[in-house]
This record gives sequence, C-alpha cells and structure tokens, in this order.
Amino acid sequence: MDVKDQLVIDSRLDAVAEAREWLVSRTVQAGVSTKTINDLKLVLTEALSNVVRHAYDDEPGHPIELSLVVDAGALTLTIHDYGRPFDADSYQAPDLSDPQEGGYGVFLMHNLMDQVHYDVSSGTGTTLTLVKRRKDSPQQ
Amino acid sequence: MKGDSIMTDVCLILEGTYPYVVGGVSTWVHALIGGLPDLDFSLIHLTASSEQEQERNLKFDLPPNLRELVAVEIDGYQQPHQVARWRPGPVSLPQSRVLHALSTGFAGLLAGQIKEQSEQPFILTEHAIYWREIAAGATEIECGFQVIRRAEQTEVTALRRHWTTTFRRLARRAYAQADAIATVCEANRRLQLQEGAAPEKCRVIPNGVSPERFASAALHPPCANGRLHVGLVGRVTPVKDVEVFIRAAHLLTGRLPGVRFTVIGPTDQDPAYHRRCLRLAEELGLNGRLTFAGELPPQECYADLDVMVLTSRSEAQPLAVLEAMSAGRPVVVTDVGACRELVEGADGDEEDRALGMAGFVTPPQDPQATAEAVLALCRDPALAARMGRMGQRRARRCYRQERCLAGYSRLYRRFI
Repeated sequence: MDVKDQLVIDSRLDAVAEAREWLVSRTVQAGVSTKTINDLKLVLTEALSNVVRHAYDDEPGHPIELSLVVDAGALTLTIHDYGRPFDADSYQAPDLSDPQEGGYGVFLMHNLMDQVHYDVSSGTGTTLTLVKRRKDSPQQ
Repeated sequence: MKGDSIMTDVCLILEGTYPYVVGGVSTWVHALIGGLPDLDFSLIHLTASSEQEQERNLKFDLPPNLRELVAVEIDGYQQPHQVARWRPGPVSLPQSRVLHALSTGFAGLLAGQIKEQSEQPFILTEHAIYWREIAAGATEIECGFQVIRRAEQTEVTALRRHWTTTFRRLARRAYAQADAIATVCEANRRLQLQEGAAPEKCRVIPNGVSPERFASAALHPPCANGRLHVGLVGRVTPVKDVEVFIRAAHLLTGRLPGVRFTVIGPTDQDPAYHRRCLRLAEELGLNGRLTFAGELPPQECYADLDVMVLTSRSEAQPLAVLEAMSAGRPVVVTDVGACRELVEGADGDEEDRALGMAGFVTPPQDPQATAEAVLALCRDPALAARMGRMGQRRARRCYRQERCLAGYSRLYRRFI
C-alpha cells in the first residue's frame, strides 16, 4: 500500500516521540518490514535530535517539517528545518576503533539508509532526504 | 531476535522498584525516562512473586516514551547455589537496541543472559553495591527476594556470608559481561575496580536534582524561628535504620525543649519494621513529639524542616540528601556510600571541597553521635544557615539533573 503523509513538529526533544509514532504507524500501514521500521525509527530519532540540538540550539518554538512517501520501490523521508544550516562538508565519520560518545547520528544514517542527502541551497534552512529501497518483503 | 518486533531504544532491567515502589532509585528511573524524551524505553520489572505484583499499584504516572512494561518473576530459587542458574520463565521479553541493568544480582544476570543470546550491548548502573547491602544487614533485596527468612534467624551469620559470596560472584560476572559500567560516586567505582571491573568500562555519573524545585524552601533560613523541627526523609525500612533516628530523638528531647521530629517516607514497604519503630517511639515516651508523616511530594518535605537526618546503614548517593541540600537545609548523615562526599565535597575536587561542609557526618548505628550533630546545628542557627547555603551551592554546582541526563544520553548513543 502506498502512503504519502506530512507532519510538522515543534523543536523540542519530547516532540521527537510524536514523530516516531507517526513514522511507525504510517510505515506499518504501508506494510514495511519490521526490520526496516526499526532502522528508520533510529535514523529519524538521530536526525531530529540533531535538528533540535544543533540547528535550533535546543530552543523550542521552531517548526520541523517531515514528509514521508512510501511506494512499492522505496521509502523517502524528508526533514526540513529553518535553523542553522548543516555543514555536510565538515562532517567526519567517527573512528570506530576509538569509541566516543557522540557523533554517531550521521554515521548511522549513512549506514542504515541507501541515500542520505543534505540540501541547503534554498537559503531557508536544511532539507535532509533519506531514502531506503524496499528490497524487504512486505509485512501483512 | 532483532527485527521480530518494533524495538525500543533502551530496555531497563530493574528489580522491584519503579514504577511500583517509591524510593530513590524509582525517582531516578522516572527522571531518566522522562528526561530523555527523544529515546523510547521498555522495562523489565523483576519481582519475587506474582501475587505481590498483582497487589501493587503504579506509584508514578508513566512517561509516554515508556513503551512496554514486562514483569518477570523470580521464584523457586531459595538457595544461594541455585541463583546463578536462574532463568526467566516463558515470557516475551521486550526487544531493544541497548540493555540497561540497574543493579547486578538478578538484573545483571538477566542482562548478561540476553546479551549472550542476542549480542545486544549491556550497560550496567549500580546505585548501591548489591552484595555490600546484604553484607551490611539487608534481609531482602530490591525485588522482594528474601535472602534471610525469619525461620532462618538462628543461622543468620553463615547464611548471610553465603548470600554475600553468591551475589559478589554475580557482580563480578556482570562486570565482565557489561560493555559499560556506571555508578553514582567515586567510592563505588573503586569498589567495582576492586572486584575486577575493567577501568576503561567504568565511569561516575552522579545523581542530580533540579535545584529550582526546592528554591522556595531555601528562602527560609533553618533553625531561625525557635520552633525546631528535625526530619528523617526516607523509606521506613531496616536499611534506613529509623530506630537510630528515634533513639537520637529520645536523647534530644531533654536538651531541646519543644523540638518536633518527623519521619517522612512510605511506611508500607516493611509493615513489621514500621510497627517496631512505633513501639520503640512509644516505649521511649516520644508520643506527640515524633510522628510518621508518610510519603510527601519532594517539594513539600523540606520547607518546614530545620535539619534533615539520614541514619542509613547503607546508601548509594541518596537523592533525599541532594534535595535537602538544594532546599538549603543542613544535613546529618551516616558515613555510608557517597554521603561524606555530598557533605564535605568530593576527593580530588578542590573547588568542591573549598565550598565547605553542608552538615555533619556521623558513624552508622550511633544515636548519640546523630543527636550531638543535630544539637550542634539547632543551638547555632548561624552555623545551620551557613551549612545550608554550602549545601545549596554544592548541589547547584555538582549535582544538576541535566548533567546526569546528558551523561546517560551520551552513553546510550554510544551503543545504539
């Protein structure tokens, strides 16, 4: 089943739970496999935590816009914020041989998603696009 | 196992406490879950009996990000040599990315078993050091599992030694299996290292409180209005040694006319011990002078108190002491767990120690010493006020809730 939906949440960490619930309910409805849903949930949590903490400096009252498109071929999640733009060029993958506590969010996204793309070209914040191809069998 | 159901980020494994029992660890768990709303949690509640479980009511409003609560019974393992073989019955355990056991003992044992099967990362937090509590005189562990039964009182020393050895072995096993080990104070970390925990796994994440919640209580200086009120804030259980507080109260009544004493905390966790305390107070002629107020919301405990007393035989890093300090109340605490560190400042942190003393530290099981310390504060309001201010500064500087939450947020994210 194809699903298209949008959600706007406030820039608060406790709103992340609302977004996660939204994502789970829509992906379950679309028949996405549990493994993929678990990965998406984790990626969404990390992406939104980064927006709240870094783009908006933990300041509530700013919008974060989410959209989800699920069709037979892929699942596309976009997250747009109007805060400080993310500098994808300065990102460095963590050194896994020397575990640190932090810096894993973007690393996780790249590992669990098929495509991760940051776009700051609009001049009004950052759009993060996450794509996961649906090679898994649908859950009924 | 992973991939079978929607996973939570963290599965807490704990014995007997949250959300059915009030106390420091329960308060800590509630603040942890509610304070990290961007993560979701499941919880395995280990309990000694299902009957007990059914009778229990929720003592907390569960945060929305606590997704699943599963009770697991510990039953039929009455002898020390059987404990290491304990396994949960046929129950569906929550799926999570990280396991977080809040003690060694059964909680650590279960986390280790799940890790062996699923390779999930295992974080261990110890508040009190489990086997030390048994060695110090506890007859029951958190989940309600009785290590010393009434019928066994005659052989109590040998039995206690046996249980202590058993749980000490379980602690060493949990230290070996855990991927990260946290505790609330440096004294506990040293004990963990002595028991073989690898230094690179160990860290101290102190407890924290929100000082703002107690700011209004701190507006009234202690011991200033002539109607003295001394309180013990804690559960009425043997480990809190409420009898020492009652005996100290008895010693003080002749020397501090008009002083009132209150025990603030739940009385239903060990009804037999509560009855014993009531009897002792009556025998010592404290009727009317000493009352049991039951449980109160933390913000209401301290404004009316002049001195906060804790007479415990064993503690970790008691939240009640941090709350009293935040409320500007001088404290009289026994020299157990992190209590000395809270009152005098942490070893090696010169700035903390330079703040001065937030009260007095007395030996455990010593009513005379407790009484003398309370007397010194009540007779010198300037000293009481100064120590109250020192405690407030220390709590604000070193024991903030945000710091504790940030420590766990980082730790979880390392393993998620």
